[in-house]
Amino acid sequence: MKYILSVWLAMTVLLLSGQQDSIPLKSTLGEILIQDVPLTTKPLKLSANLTFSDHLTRQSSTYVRSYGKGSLATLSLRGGTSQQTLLQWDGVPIQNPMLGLADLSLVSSALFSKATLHSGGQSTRYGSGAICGVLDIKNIDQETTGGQAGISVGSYGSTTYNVGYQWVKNRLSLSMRGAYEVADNDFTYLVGGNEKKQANAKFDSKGLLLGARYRLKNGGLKLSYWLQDIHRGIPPTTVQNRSEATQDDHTQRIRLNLKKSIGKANVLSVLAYMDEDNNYDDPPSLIAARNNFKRWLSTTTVTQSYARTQFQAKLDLNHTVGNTDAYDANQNTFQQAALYASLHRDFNYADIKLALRTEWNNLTSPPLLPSLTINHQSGSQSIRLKISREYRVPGLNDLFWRPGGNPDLRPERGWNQELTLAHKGAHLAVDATIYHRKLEDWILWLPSTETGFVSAINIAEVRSRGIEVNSQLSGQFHKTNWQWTAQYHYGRSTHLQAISGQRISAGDQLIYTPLHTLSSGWKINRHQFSFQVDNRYTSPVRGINEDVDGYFLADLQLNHKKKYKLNKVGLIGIFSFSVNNILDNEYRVVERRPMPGRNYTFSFNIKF
Amino acid sequence: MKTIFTILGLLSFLFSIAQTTADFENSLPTLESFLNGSDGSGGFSEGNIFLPNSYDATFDAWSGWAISNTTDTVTGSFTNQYSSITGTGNDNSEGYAVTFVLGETLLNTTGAAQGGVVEGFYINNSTYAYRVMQDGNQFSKKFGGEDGTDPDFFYVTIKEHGNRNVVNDSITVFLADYRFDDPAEDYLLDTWTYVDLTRFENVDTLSFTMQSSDVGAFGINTPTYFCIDDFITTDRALTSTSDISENSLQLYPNPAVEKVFSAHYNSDYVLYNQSGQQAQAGKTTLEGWISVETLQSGLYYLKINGIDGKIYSGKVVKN
Repeated sequence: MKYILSVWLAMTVLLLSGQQDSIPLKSTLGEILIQDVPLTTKPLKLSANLTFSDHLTRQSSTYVRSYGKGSLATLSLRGGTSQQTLLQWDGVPIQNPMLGLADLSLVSSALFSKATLHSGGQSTRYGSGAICGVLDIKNIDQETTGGQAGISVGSYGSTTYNVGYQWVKNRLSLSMRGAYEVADNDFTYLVGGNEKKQANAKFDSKGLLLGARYRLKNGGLKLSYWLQDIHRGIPPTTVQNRSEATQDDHTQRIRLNLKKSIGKANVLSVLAYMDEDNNYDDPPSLIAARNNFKRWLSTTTVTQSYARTQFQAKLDLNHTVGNTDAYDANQNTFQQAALYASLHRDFNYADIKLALRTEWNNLTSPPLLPSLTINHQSGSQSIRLKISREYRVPGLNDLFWRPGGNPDLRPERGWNQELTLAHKGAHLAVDATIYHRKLEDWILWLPSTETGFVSAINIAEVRSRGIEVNSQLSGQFHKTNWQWTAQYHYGRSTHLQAISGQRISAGDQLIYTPLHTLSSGWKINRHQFSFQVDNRYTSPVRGINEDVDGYFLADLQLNHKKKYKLNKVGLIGIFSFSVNNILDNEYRVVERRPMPGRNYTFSFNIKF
Repeated sequence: MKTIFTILGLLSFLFSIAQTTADFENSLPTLESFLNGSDGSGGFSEGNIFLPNSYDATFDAWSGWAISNTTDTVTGSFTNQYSSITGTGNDNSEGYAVTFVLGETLLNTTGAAQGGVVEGFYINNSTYAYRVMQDGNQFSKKFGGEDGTDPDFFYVTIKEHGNRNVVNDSITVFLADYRFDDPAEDYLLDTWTYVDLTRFENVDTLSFTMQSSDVGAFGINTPTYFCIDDFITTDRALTSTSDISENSLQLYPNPAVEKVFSAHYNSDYVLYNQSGQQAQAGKTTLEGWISVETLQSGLYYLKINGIDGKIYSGKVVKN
């Protein structure tokens, strides 16, 4: 920790004392010329009325494994596991390092304005856990004073309040966003022809995001603090009589960003600290698990451009300590240093980017991670090829949990290849990516007769291949604007070898990995009204115990926007009414976990 | 006269088939306690049986057998691994044995009972397995499933192993059976029930494996625990002088290439070469195997310190 702080402070002092007569900064510092995503990738728009998982499943072809509001929600991208897609808060990884995954339900969507999904292998740039892609959430910095507030009331005792305000004066900007959400989640469902009400599913979530920004000459300083507090009941499964289990997550994250332009170099330096508690209680089972981790991160990125060439270097430092009774006091720490360098040149015929990442840590031997991206653009068409090496460091639980943790685990690793064709016109944008990925040393927890208990081992080899298509069509008819979006993913992700003693044969699709996911949406705007219909289809998946049927869902939303004036202050009021699962389909995403039928939400948001 | 001889003969026969019962009553000094092998003993000797145990001190994890007198009949989680569903042993006694079966659990006959007839024992569900089958949990199903009609089952298969590790016979005992046409007949075993093993005539080792209808991609979801008590063996030592151990080893296969079976499980052994030098030493496996893979070809003398306190010896040819 001291080491990370010292290095970061040294760099900060160096930057602040640097020259200040350089060119002004443009847009986001550290942004590279070649995007590691298809050209048509669009940020997801976030609103307080929907959960983060809902936003993802409605606006992309990702598969989110969740059993309703407040439940654990994990993301599967391009046939990978939830541990193979990285969740970031504006460039800072916020995966739980003990589990090695991110629970999307621990993010209040009301706190953020934008999420961007970068599909495809990103380990070279972002390091461990970005094998299948990166999901980045952030807020767009506003330059004017203003605020917003809203309330949303829905079925099953669901109420959400959100409030936000930003004050800007000269070089200083202060901001606050808050969200409070409660729900009984006590929907009814059918089991064997009998109606049953979901019990012990209440949850409440409190989120607060504070920010302070100060504009420097040719740069800026930004301090952010994110507090998230969530309490939730764990409802019984459909084959469980009752449950009194609860989970409490208390998260504090603080980060300091320094942007600076020195000569032709743009520098972005970030120091972050996270302190997260995860407590699980099940009184009848006499279980009270207390887990906590503390993590210090530092990232410094330098981007230098010369005419048509761009060079980027990045230093990442990470010090993480996990605390739980299941760890030995001497085996609970992960320390890492990583160097990334990329060279990008814009040739006449193509953009070519070569990147390399090398990493050292105290637990495993990460491989060298090269990547090559070639992008050719001709008018509105483009073609992009990317080859990269991918890897994932085992989670702290994989390594240290007693019993079963295995300190000798190797990182999961392999190669990823993808080819994207894209067209971006005035009304039509479409991209299609075919990908192939082969990973070895895939980590599974399996019963072991050698150790006498379930243990983490590098056992599987998995090949993933598929196609991902995103499209958007828009137009105007008289004074009506319309937009149609569709996202489709076909993915085969199969075990290459049978796993002895388990019900896993060579050629088996991974559990909870659908072959097909499709989402589409129609949106029509006329005057102050908008009407939106979202559909999504997920094909059947193999569960741990039983197969889960495929399902089709349709949601409808009606919005009305109206402008007001109150004491010379301009206000915009937005009324929304939505019907979710409008066909009242009975479906499950997770085996033995029911999902709600048709349900309603009414919301009112005001901006000023 | 003939009658007198007949009576004497019968009496002598009756005395000759003395039985020994492992009742687990004296292993634990206090109530609500258990032995799970954390002392590194590798198992427990009770009566004329040995119950192997595997304990990992690093992780405080065990499998095989434990001895217990804990009484929690309510808690259906891994925090209550050592209790029987009655909270007692058979016939309201305090002590009993509980096993966590990971693949297979073994039980060995020892001393005078080795290689003889096993009479039988009492079996019951553990509280952990029983409550999970009754109520389900986040990972396992309640038996009967969502609407109570799933044909669920949970059973133990007991196999007899003779001195050459050959499976001779097997018996299946249901700890839960929900396969009846009339759901009223579905049951979870909650009383100590006698298992007759007298058809097993030549037992060195018994193996226990478990099957459940609740199986996921990574194995059985039902906790694979059960309890036993009052394990009755027949003492062969008094039936015939020819049965008394001559301390010589029967080794198989011999000559051996990779491993040799000794019928002495978890016992210290030493292998000497023809010059009398120690070539290899260690412990036999829980099944009684000794690896000879790394030895050079030749004749070796094997000495085993049996868990019955006797020393056994024999010759092994490594090919």
